[in-house]
Amino acid sequence: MSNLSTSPATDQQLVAQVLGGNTASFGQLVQRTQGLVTQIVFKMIRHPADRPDVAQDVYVKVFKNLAGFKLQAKFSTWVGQITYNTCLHYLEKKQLVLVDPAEPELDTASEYGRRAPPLVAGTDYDPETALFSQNLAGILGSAIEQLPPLYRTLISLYHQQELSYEEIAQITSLPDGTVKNYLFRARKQLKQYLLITYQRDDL
Amino acid sequence: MSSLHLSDSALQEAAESTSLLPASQVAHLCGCPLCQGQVATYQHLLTAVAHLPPPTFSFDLTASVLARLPQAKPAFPWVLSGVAALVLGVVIAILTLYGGLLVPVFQSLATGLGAGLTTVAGFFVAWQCLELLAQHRRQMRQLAFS
Repeated sequence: MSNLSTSPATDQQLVAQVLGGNTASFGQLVQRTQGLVTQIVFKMIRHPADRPDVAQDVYVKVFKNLAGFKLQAKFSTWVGQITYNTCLHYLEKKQLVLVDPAEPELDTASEYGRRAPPLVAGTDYDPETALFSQNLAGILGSAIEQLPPLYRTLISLYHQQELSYEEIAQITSLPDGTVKNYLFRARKQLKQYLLITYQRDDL
Repeated sequence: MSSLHLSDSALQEAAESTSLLPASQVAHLCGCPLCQGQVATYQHLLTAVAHLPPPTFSFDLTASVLARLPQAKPAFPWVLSGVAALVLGVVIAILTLYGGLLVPVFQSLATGLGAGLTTVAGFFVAWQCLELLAQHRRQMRQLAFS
């Protein structure tokens, strides 16, 4: 019984409290979702000085539109959607490219069966020692930074925030298949960048 | 074993789970060290990505957001408005019913008394205006210092 009285309020309950005039409850909603918001903002916005303003704008928009939130929906996904759209608006304003349209689509059907080139010359390549030998976080961080904003965001949402394809599709308003395709391309670009930039001996 | 190596997308799927692959590709993967190596590369890469430290702001995002929230508008004073409307209605009703009786009363008053009443009312209104002005100044001072 005591568990019932001390159990934390659900997102929906907190939303109802904020709508009832309890602004302090909004702080709890911010704390619960700021990991996701920060992740998207950091991946979509390259300029560090602009990130705090964008993140705060996101939450002001969330607060203003809270009455429009459908209580059946997942709150974090809804906040993620607003964050993504706010970042998209920022990129449009700055005339920055979300993803390079010139890049060819990765056709999984046609690619199946193609002879895959070896990652590096030689057969004694040991990826474990190569990838984990030096300052991996720094190398990976800078490699991810080289990807287009959308790819960076998809990689972090899927692999770091552990969202499903469906949730990412809801946040980005992209079809599930497109999300999956972009993720394939993002991982491939990431791997290729690492292999080209850092020679085996450097790693 | 098929001589065709797995496509990059198949390698990535295998890095997540081989259950996502068709049986023919699983069979190839089992006998191909090259594809196994590439799957292992993806597995290590994606594990490392998943363990990257999450980005954080150097300031308290929650506090700054709460400070930026728009202030709630004060609710419309429905009760006060209702009472005012009720009082106004009563006054209008009284004037409608007994207004005719008041005219001869005012006509019978001496001119001096009328002037006196007007002067007192004028002083009262002026005093109220000065009070309102003083109150407004006090509020402005509080706002400036807060």
